[in-house]
Amino acid sequence: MIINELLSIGEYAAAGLYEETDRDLFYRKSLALRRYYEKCELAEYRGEYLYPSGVTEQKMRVAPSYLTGLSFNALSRDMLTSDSFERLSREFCAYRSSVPEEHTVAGNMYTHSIPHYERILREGLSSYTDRIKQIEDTDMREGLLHVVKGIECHLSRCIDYLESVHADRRLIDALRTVPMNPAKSAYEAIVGWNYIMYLDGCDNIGCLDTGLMPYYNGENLVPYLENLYDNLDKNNGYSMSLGSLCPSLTLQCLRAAKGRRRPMIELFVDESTPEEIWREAISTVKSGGGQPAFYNGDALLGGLKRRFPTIRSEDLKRFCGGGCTESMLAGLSNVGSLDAGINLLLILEKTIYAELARSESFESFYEKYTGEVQKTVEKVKGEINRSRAKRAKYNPLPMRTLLIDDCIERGVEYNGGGARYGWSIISFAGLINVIDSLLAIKTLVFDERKYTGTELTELLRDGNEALLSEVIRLEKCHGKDIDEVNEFAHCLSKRIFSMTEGGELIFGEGFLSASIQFSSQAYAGRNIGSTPDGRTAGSPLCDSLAAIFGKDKYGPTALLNSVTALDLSGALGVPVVNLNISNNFSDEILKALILGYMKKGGIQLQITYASREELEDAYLHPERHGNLIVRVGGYSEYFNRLPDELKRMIINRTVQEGGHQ
Amino acid sequence: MNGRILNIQRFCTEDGPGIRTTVFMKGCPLRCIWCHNPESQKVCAEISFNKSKCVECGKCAAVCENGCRANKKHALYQRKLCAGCGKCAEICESGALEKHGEIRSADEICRVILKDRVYYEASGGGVTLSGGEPLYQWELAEEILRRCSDEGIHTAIETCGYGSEKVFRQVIKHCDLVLFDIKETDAALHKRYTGVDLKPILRNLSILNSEEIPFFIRAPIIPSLNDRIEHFTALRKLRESMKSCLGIQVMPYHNIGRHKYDLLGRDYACEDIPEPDAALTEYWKSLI
Repeated sequence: MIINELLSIGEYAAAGLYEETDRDLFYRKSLALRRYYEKCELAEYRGEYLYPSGVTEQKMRVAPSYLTGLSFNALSRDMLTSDSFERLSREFCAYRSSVPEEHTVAGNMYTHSIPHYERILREGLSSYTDRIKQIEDTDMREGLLHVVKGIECHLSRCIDYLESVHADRRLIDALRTVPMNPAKSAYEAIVGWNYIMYLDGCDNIGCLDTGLMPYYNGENLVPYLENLYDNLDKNNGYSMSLGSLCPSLTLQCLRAAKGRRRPMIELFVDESTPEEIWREAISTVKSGGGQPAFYNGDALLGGLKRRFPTIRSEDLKRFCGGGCTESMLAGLSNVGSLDAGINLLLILEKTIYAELARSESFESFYEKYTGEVQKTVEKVKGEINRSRAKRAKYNPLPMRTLLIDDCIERGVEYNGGGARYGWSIISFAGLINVIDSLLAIKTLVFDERKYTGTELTELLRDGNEALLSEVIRLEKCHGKDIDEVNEFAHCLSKRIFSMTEGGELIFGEGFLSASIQFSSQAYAGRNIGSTPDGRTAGSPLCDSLAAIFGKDKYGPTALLNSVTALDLSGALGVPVVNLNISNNFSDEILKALILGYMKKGGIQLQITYASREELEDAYLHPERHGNLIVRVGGYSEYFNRLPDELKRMIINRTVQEGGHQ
Repeated sequence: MNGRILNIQRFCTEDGPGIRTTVFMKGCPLRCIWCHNPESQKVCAEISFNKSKCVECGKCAAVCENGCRANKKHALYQRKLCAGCGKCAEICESGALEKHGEIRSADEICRVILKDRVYYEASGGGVTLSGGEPLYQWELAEEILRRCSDEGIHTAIETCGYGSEKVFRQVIKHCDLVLFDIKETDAALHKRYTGVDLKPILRNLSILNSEEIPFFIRAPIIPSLNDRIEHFTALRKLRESMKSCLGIQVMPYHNIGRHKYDLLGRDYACEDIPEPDAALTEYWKSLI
């Protein structure tokens, strides 16, 4: 009965779930995917180089998000009888994360992914059938064959449609080849790349330049790449990584990204990076858009290898950010991108109210605080494991199982541990607020004894303006490159980041710390009162690892030295830094700044190129700045789309000047 | 070795090549009437007072041991009584009072300079001693330059060139680059505008050249004072006659330092001088 009901409202995929209810969930979702691809409405062709293009039409309310994503959240109650709704909810919404909500800053068991584009383009999806037939588990084997059949059918429908509208012959021919058969040219590879990206919900592009290298013969690919990037952007997709193994190809990948919000680009640079790549990258930075982010391969990949020795050296080259910029190995990993986000400032606030008045020394207060953080991390780790177990049981993902290695070889579903590598990223939010707050407490309560613990607690509770103005002016804070502060910040960050090292992760190598905020630091601060770093009640937490409240007044080198004093190697998930620069930076100086930062151990740097005046004007007149893009948290976003408090925070970030100050 | 420092400014990109740390030393023997850093002229510490920021809290008066403020409810400031201790500036929350000049040791200064070593290496930058006038506290200058040079850091000074031959030789031997100011080439006018003789400056410039230390001449363009064809022609001849001279950098007059005179309770003598526009600057550049 439910099948007929779902078919009658056009929910073909959901109906597919009920065709063979005696089979396991993986099989049923696979069949549903097949039915979806057999019947779904095709995207309109508007003369693009690539197909599909544009926003994925979601005419069906039930599918396909729950077939590829995390939860069953697109169901319209109004469209189904209550019996059918209850049944669907019961059977497909059983998975819920149990990570405490206050520690889900920037993420709650959300998992981005990157398909193994290169393998599919090299071998062709048709060849996957032989590998699938080796799988012992009947439901998984037959399920994956359904998915491949569905894709074949979808491609055939696409080609018929494109023929009917007299689409570009080259595009039609390419789709007759890729992704079912190996690509033979760079254009075919990009057509295939685009199609695979849509199969995975337009999430991440992966290692594009190295992936296209085998097909590249020096031709101009920029128009196709622009089409690919637009498709990712329109579907709110995320990241791409670029090396410089083939400089002319990397240059084209960069050129196509100029002025675009997405993809977020992770560009690996070092002293050997060719000058033309530097020029193009810096010109792209200066075109606005906060692209690319600069990455230190030695520090990041070397660190990951030390953290997880099981990673093969050749696989490390497949590093790519997934989502904002969470560390992944493209096509090989199942990374809990942002399984949890520990709100460090919230824990500090609770510790202040509970313990400051009765703490006899700063050391004892510090121990109580870090002890509370440790307890929270342990609890969160336990909940992540429980949630991952539930996710494996209730949310098998046939498409990712097909597209990501080694699920087929292992005969294990993606969420159940099929990917070659897996880790769980725990991001720490508010670290810089906590560093400045603890230093203020040490100075005012324990060193200078200007206030008792009780007095300071009460002043904070009242949001006392004089106190907040006093603490903001304290010299000892993050961002000024003061030895004593740096030493303290190093010890605290090392202690906190290392808390994720212990404990086993089911279906993976382990936990990995990060400091990545999305735009979530705004929401995370709303329920926290005023804090001893000078932050007023309800205002946002710090943006990842940069300084706060314009305290970084000694220039960009002092700020970056403060950042490298943190234990960045303990937060390989990654440690994000946002830098605002003015337009008087020369290319050479900016390059030297980036290289110097990396030489000191900096891992990642994102640069927004906008003056304070421009940001102020955009705040007052959003209609004049529709294309203004800024870097915030780990991602690029249109300034106009940010919540108000984040706009203010970005305006108030120090804009580092490039000349004599 | 201690000395009085106005400021240590990191990430300077206009005081020599690459990313640099510039140490602004306090004290200068010249009194250029257009000087845009009047707070750097005296070697002693000074307090500037910005009346518009003062909230009349009276905290400065409470901490002052010299009675600079007669009325505790008003920040009326008697500069002649001030010893420059800076206690008032420390307590001033509104930012109305600011102390210029701190005693710092060569150790402390070098520690700050060394913090940005990687950025110097990546950019071909280093350290620049400026001022005030680095020759004015030459022993400290020499020590900083020697230590930095020993560390392999590129060293530069920005100097007016006024000092004894012995002092000058002592300092420049640790320099990889010198930015040498020539304010005026007419001896009488030089004395009038700066208060000192031109002769020892030109002597030191010759020493620099004969010692084969690369240098730039820095020449301010001060409309109505030195914007004469004869002056810029003389500058060109100087450049042509000196093989170690890398070129002449013109420094167009600007009046952004004007307000500092008010804050320091001094008169500003260049009130009516206009800032040269880009076309005029290009014209003078073309002569050198």
